[in-house]
Parts: sequence; structure tokens; C-alpha cells
Amino acid sequence: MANPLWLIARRTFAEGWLRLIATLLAALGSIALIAGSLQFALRAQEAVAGSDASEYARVDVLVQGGTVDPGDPFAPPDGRIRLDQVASRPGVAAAAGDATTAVTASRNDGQAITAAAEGRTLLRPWVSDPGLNPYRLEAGRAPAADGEVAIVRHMSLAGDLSVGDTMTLTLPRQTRQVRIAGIVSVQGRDAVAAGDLVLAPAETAQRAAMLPAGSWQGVWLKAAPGVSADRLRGELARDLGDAATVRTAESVRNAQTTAASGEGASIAGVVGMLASVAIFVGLFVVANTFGTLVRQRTRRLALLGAIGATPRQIGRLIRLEALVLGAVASVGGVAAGFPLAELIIWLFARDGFDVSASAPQVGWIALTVPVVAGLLVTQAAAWRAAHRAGNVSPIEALRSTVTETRERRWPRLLSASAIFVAACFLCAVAVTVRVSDPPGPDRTFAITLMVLFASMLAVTGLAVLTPFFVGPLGGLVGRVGTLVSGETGRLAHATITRSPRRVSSAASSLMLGVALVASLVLVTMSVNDRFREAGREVMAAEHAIASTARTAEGAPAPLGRDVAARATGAPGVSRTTALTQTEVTLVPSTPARAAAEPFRFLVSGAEQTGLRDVLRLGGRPPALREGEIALSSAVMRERGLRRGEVITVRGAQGRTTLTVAGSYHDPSHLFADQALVDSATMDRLDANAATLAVLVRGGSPQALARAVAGVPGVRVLDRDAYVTAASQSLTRALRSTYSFVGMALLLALFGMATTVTMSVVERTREFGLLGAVGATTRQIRSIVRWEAATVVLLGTILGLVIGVGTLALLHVTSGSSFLRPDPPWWLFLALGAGAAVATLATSALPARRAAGVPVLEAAKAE
Amino acid sequence: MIGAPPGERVSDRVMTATDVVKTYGAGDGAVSALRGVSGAFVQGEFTAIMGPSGSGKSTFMHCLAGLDTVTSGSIVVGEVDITGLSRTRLTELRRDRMGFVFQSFNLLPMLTAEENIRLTGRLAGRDLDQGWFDTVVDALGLRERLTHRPAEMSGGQQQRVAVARALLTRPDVLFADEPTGNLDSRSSAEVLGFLRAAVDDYRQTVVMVTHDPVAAAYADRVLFLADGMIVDELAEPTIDAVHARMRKIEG
Repeated sequence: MANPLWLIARRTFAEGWLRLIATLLAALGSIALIAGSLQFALRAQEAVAGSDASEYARVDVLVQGGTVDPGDPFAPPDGRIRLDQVASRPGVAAAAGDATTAVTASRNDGQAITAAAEGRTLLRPWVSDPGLNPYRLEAGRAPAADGEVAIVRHMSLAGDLSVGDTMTLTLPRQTRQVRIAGIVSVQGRDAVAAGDLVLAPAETAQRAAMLPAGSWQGVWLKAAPGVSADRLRGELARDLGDAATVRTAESVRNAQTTAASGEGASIAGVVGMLASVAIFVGLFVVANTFGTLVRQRTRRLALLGAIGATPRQIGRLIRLEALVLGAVASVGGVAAGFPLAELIIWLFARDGFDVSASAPQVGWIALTVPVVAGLLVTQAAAWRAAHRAGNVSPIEALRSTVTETRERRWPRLLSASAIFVAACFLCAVAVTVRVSDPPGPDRTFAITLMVLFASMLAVTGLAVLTPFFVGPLGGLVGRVGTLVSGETGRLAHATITRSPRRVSSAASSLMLGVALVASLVLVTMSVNDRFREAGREVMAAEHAIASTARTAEGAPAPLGRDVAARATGAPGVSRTTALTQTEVTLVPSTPARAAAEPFRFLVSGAEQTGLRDVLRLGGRPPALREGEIALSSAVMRERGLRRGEVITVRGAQGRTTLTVAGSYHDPSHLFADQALVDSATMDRLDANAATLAVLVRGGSPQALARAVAGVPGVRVLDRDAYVTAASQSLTRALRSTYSFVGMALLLALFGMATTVTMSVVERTREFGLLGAVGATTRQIRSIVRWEAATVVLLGTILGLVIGVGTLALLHVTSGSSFLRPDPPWWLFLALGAGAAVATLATSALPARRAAGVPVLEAAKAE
Repeated sequence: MIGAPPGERVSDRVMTATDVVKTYGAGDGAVSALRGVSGAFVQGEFTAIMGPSGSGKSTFMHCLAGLDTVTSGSIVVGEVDITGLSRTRLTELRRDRMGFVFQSFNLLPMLTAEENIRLTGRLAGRDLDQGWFDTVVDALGLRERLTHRPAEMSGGQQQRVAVARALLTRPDVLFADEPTGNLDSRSSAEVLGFLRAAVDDYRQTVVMVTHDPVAAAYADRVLFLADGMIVDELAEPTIDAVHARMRKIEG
């Protein structure tokens, strides 16, 4: 034990751990949040990118009809190819036709089986040729007849299905029951990179994909012995010309892997943003409690200074204590991160983003990054406290009571101004991004990130300034207190104004909590209100029939289009319209545009006759005939298109030429956000377009429910319920923040409880003295309560300023009508009440204990 | 009890205070705690500083020890004027050349008696002189208490540990601020006896602030402060003589 500082730090920690436990838990919680979100990100990445298993494992060359989307290796090609056109060519040893149809699989009790993260469930033909077949039967046998399927093991695990069970398959045009004949694995994996596979006999898969007999979307080829994949590809490409795209299976596999890891990276980015909030809250809370801890030990530090510890040594002592704390908290945090990750995964899985298939990550990144982050966070948090401790004058050791020394105002004002300048700079960056970047999710993400960081800085800046607000506010509370409870109010006023830093450290934790909740509630309410309002405006139909299953984004999954016919027959129904959707790519009109990123957009399809009975789109688009398209004004503006212009789009069935008949807009973004066509045009674009919902005018919910009773997995929703369900996919990012903000709030409250408790313990002597001079237990508690009232008032006001300010900033910088700073009055009351309850709950126990301290006990010196 | 040291008593100065002024606040509200105090302290001398409450006796000692800053004047320790030193230099000078015994709260509660005694030397990164450590510990009768924490010791024992810590670094000056203020008469006599012995046996310089004439009688001389100035000095004090001077000063 050569180093006395290390000895003191260790002993302080070992003896004072009960006092430190709150700080320790705050640090541990924040590190657990970092570790948990990292773990989640890694597992999400593994789940998304991880299944490098490919159904093309045994294929040498892939011939796909027409052209393929170079940007999406999972997208089906837009043309057809006849199997006999390639199967008999020289150099081909084996050939099998391929077709994919996106389906929704559900158990018979209606519960959907969600594909592994971000993936889809695809219906494909069973490949019988052993040279090409990548599927290894784990149980049962190959599907032999129509109505039989084999499923990948992930589906059997996720849906708890085994051989012989039946399940419901929702195809684009119909919903049907199938029997599970076999369960397969691919290259030892439970699913493939594209998601889950349902394998049906070739004819069934071909019919589902709306292909004529003999035609396929693609053909898998095995090269004959001695023929290389590259040579075969070259020969076929030369012979087939533009009619088909010929690629080696290896290049497709590589493209899929790259695309999947890109997807994983984008998820990691979002989670990283949330984790940065966790780090910030952790920093804030630990810094706050550490500051209080140092203030509490002023006398000890001063004694050390008096008997020979230099300011640097004292600073190092605090940093050493932070190191011990950080190390313990890091180890605990990493351990706690695993169950926390499970919780986050469960919460996300409930929303349709299921990464539970991945194994817990125990690599060095998953273990060391949180530990290093934890040590850095605690060191950074202790930095200011260490600095302060070094400045404690040795003379403090000789004082009998510790009082807050008056400090100069300008360093505080200066650092707060610097922080606010940085926040303004970030806002300026956000505005620049808005002006210079094209609109889209990337821009919104960048702006949100900037505003988020700016808000965090503003919280820090306000926290630095809080001691200045304590005086006037404490005066106000003190005056009210004096009016209400006389002498105790006066005493409370004196204690509040005498130690502004103590009051402000509790208030700033509360401010952080209120700011977090206020921003989230305000954003959520604003977004939901706007959706409801716009949804009511657009949706004229009284009912919508939608699937009970959900897509990975959380919106209702597509349903079978045959549901529309069933609903039409229901009594009282005057209009039913199936709302379909498909994605197309705009074929560039000029070579200059061809070089740019391809423009993809979603086209909604609906029967035009009587459309206004069910949908009232803004700008009144004309009734569209076959071959016409109406575009939203945003798309028109962005692509510089005019009415009457002829555009070519590439969809699932190849190129289609359409005439722009007019523009409109869908303020809800839920029904026809970008483009609208007639149902006949939709059949030309994509015969298997997904049916989002069937909109129904007239009839009663009961009658409709009876009409669709035969179709499993569908439900009848009223207007608001459908709008809420449909908007889920757009609010997914928002919802994913709930759990994080909830945990961060817990941390902030924890920090407040810690500072309040410590500030009461710190004044045990003072309370004892009050007791000695005749204050009753009730009066002492009342003093603590008046102090708490100041904390609540200060924390709530500042937190609301941040919350409303953040939303206003988002509104100004993003210009979105979905983010309007229009808080209802009751929200302020509710937040104030919540803050009051939290503060009373955290201060009740220490106040009770302080009031009960025997006078003699209190009179003892440390 | 403590072995006789070599050498003889030489009147060399270890510390000189010249015209020390200490003012709290500024302008009309300014309060003067010290108004031009001068004094010299020579090696091997035991000086007591006395005075009524508010006379500035504690402030004077804090200024001498570099615990508090002075408004004007100079304090020279050895050859160094400490009034202009940085916090760090001042701390280093304190741990090299000064020892402290306060009225209360002398020890860090989480360290044992031995760890507390050795703390100053360790902070300075100095090796322990085991022989001197044993001498001091045995002289103060702390051998049995070395592994105890402050909470497990009596007030007198705690003060003896503080004296041991102060003596272990062989300081030029040992400052004691009301060292017996919280002790009963028997413990007081023990602690004061040790201080006296250190002066006699090792030519230790001791400066002690006290309000107790009994304690002051252990000193070689007594400085009397009133209203921030030295108003009297008494050599070879006895209890009665100190009493008489104090009564005169207090009026």
C-alpha cells in the first residue's frame, strides 16, 4: 500500500459504499443502458446481416427474366423466363425454376409468424433436383401436393409449429390453409438472408406468383462438370441478350451479404443515437451526485489539504474514487446489459422487429466497449468534482459547519454561454442541412440528430445556470411558505437561498427527467394528433378491414384481396375498395438523370369508381383511367414533372409507360403518399401488389365481421383505429425511443433521489440543532417539503422549457406539420403533478429520518 | 522518557511574521482580524498565543501556517516568504516543515491510527524512518492502538495520534490549535506534557493557540492578542501570571 491516495480511495469506497450505492447504481444503470443498447445493436446486426445462408448455395448461375433492380439484391426480377429456354443448353447440368411471392404466415390461432429481423416471408418452389437443392430436411419430408409446404426452422421455432400442423398463408390474392410436410435448414442456418421461406410444390409457387405454366421469374442453373460458372454466365448472357439478366450465383450472394450488413449498420446508427442519450443521462446523473459527494466531504478534503495533500493529489483522489466506482459499475453494468438487451429485444419484437433468433454477443466489442465507456463516463463525470475538490481551502477543515462558499458568477455565466453557443451552432447545422439536402428520411434523421444534441447541450447549459434561478424562485416559494406555515416557511427560505447549489443539483436532475418526458410526450401527441386529424380528413370510409398480423415496421400486414369481394356482400355496404400498393422505380428520361440514384416510389392502387366515397385526397385528383397516374405534389415538385408528361416506371412486371394525369396530396401519408393509379393499371404494374386494407363505406362492424369471419387473421377497424394501426410503421422510430427514454427517466429520478437524500443527510446536525431549539418533527419535515417544492418548481419549469423548445426547434428545422409545438394546458399540470409526486416520494424517507435524528446524535461532529 | 538529543539550544529563527494584516470583506463592511501583527519564533521554543474570543489569535496562527491568506505583511519560514506562494507550493512547504494538531477532527475516519500517523510522509512520498516512528509511537503510548480506527479511540488517544503524526515529519514548527479544548484535565495534561517533552528533548518549535491558562503555563512564553494586535508578552509563564494578564486585557 505504497500510495496513500489509493488507500484512502479504496477505504472510502469500502466504508462509504452504502452512501455511494446510489451513485454507483446511477452509474451502473447508465453503463447497463450503454451495454444493453450495444448488445441489441450487435444482435440486430447479426440477425439482419448474420444469416449469410443463401438459398443459392448450390447454384452456379442465376438467369432472371427481364432486368433486376441493381440496388436491391432481394427484389424479384421484372420479367419472365421459360425454363426450357435455358435448361437444354450445353454446359447446363441441372435447372430449376424459381418464383417468389411475399406472403404472411400465421398460426391457426391468428398469431402471425414474424420473419427474422427486417426480413420477409417468401413463398418459393421446392427444388427437387439434388444437385441444386440447398434445403436440408430436419424433419418430415418434401412437400408433394398442393396444400403442402416445407418451412425453414426459424418459422417452426418462432411459431411453435411442427410437421403435420397446419398454418394460414395470406397470399396477395387469397388466404389459404396449408399443411406443414417438412422443416428445413439452409447451410445449417434457421433462415436465409432474405428472411423466412415457405417452400411449396413448383406449380403452387408458380400459380401464386401469377406465372403462366412453363414460365418463371428466374432459373437456377448448375454448370456441367468442367464448365466454370463464369463461362456459362458469359455464354448465356450473350445468347439471351436483353430478355434476361444472367449473373453468377456467387455475385448475387455477395450482393445480398453487402446489402444486409448495410441494413444492420443503419439499425446500429439509430441504436447508437439512443445510446448517446443514455451516455448523456449517465454523465449528467453521475456528475451531479459526484458533485454532491465532494461537497459533503469538504472537511475531510480540507484536512487532507492541511496536513500535506497538494490540490493535485486531492483531485487525483477524487478521480481514483471515480475509477473504483467506474470499475465496479462497469462490471455490473456489462452484466446487467444482457438482461436489459433481452428486454429491449422483447420490446422491439412486440413491434415486429424480431432479432431474438441471434445469440447473445460475448465478443470483445460487446464486453470492452461498455467497460471503457463506463470508465470514461465516470472519469468525465468526476472531472469537475475533482477540480472543485482540489480548490477546497484547508481552512475549511477548521470550521465547525460547512457552508457553501460564495463563488464568482462569471465563470458559470461564461461556461453556460459557451454551451449555448455550441447548441446554437448545432441548430444552425440542422438548418443548413434542411436547406441544402434533399428531403427524405436521411435529412430528417440528420436534423433530428442535430436537434437532439443541441437539446442535450441546452440541458447542460441550463443545469450550469440553475443556481442563479434558485435565489428568486426560492424567495417566491419562501414568501408563500411564510404565508402558509409561518416560521418554517421562513426557515425554508433561508436554507434554500443559503445553498443554491444544493437545491439546484436536485432540480437539474428533475429538469432532465421532465425534459425527457415532456419532449417525448409532446412529440408523440403532436404526431398522433396530426395523424388522427389528417386520417379523418382523408378517410371517408367508415370501416377498414385489415390484417391482424404486422409487418416488420409495425403496420398491418397485407391481406388477401379476396376479402374485398366478401365485404361487398355484407348488408348495408355501399362501397368497398381494396387499397393496394407496390414499389416502382422511375426510369430516367435523360441520360444525365440516369447517373443519379434511382428514384423509387410507392404507387397506391384503388378502384376509381366511387373512390371519393372512401378516400378524399387533397387537390382532388381526377378519376384515373388505365395507363394514367396521379402523383403527389411533393413527388411532382421533387422530380420536376408536369401534368400530361409521359413517364416510364419499372415495376414487378417490367416497364410500363404512364401519363401523369394530375397531382394531389395525402396529408395523412397513409393511403396514397406518393402516387395513385387505377386498379387496372396496378394489375399491369404488379399483379401481386399487396393489399393494405379494404376500405368500406356503409354497413355495420358486426355485419362486416360476419362477412369476413371465414378469413383467418383479419379484423374490422373503425376510422381512428385504422389510422392508428396504419401510422404505426411511420411512428416506429418514435416508439423505439419509449423504452430508452423510460430507462433514462428512471436514471434521472434515481439521480434526483440520490442528491435529495445526500442533501438531507448532509444536514443531520442542522436538523438536530433545530430539534434542540424546539422545532417539532412536523416542522422539520415541513422545511424539507418547502425545499422540495422549490426543486419541483424549478425542475419542472426548466424541463418544460427544454421540452417545448426541442419540439419548436424540430418544427422550425424540419418544417413538418407533424411536429407542432402545441401543448395542451393539462400536460403542464400533469407533468407538474408527476414531478411533485416524484420529488415528494424521493424526499419523504430521508426527511422522516432526518426529523427523527436524536439531538445528541446530531450534535456529534464527524 | 524521550532519549536526550545531541546538541545545545541555539537561538536561530525558524519563522518571522512582519506587520501581518488580515481583513475580511471590503469597503465599509470590512472587518479587520489582524491589524499589523509581528513576531519571531526561534527553534526549540514553545510559544502560546492567548487572547479573548475574536482577538484574532486563531487567524494569526492560520496565517502563520499558510492555511489562510494575509491581506498584507510577510511571513517568512526558513528563507521563504510564504505569502506569495501557490497553493501547491504552500502545501509542499507545509508538509515538509510544519505539523498540525487541531482542536477536533484531526484524523481521517477511514484510516487506522498508524495510517493516519504516516499519512503526511506518504503524501510527500518519503520513506519511513522506522526508528523515529517507534520512538514517537512508544513515547505517546500508542503501540497498542496502531490498528484502531479513530472511532474506536478516546478523545485523548485521538489527540495523541494527531501529535504523533505532526511529530513524525520532524517539522520546523508544530502548530497546535486549542489541542486540549475537547479534552478532560488528565488527557490535557498528557498531551501538553508530550508537547513540552518534544520541545525539551528535540528542540521542537511549538506554536499553540489556547484560551486555557493551565495549558499556556506549559509554554516558554505567551503572546497576548486583543483586537488584532499583540498587546503583551509573558516569558516563563505560570498559571497565576497568565490569569492576571488575561484579566487585565479583558478589563
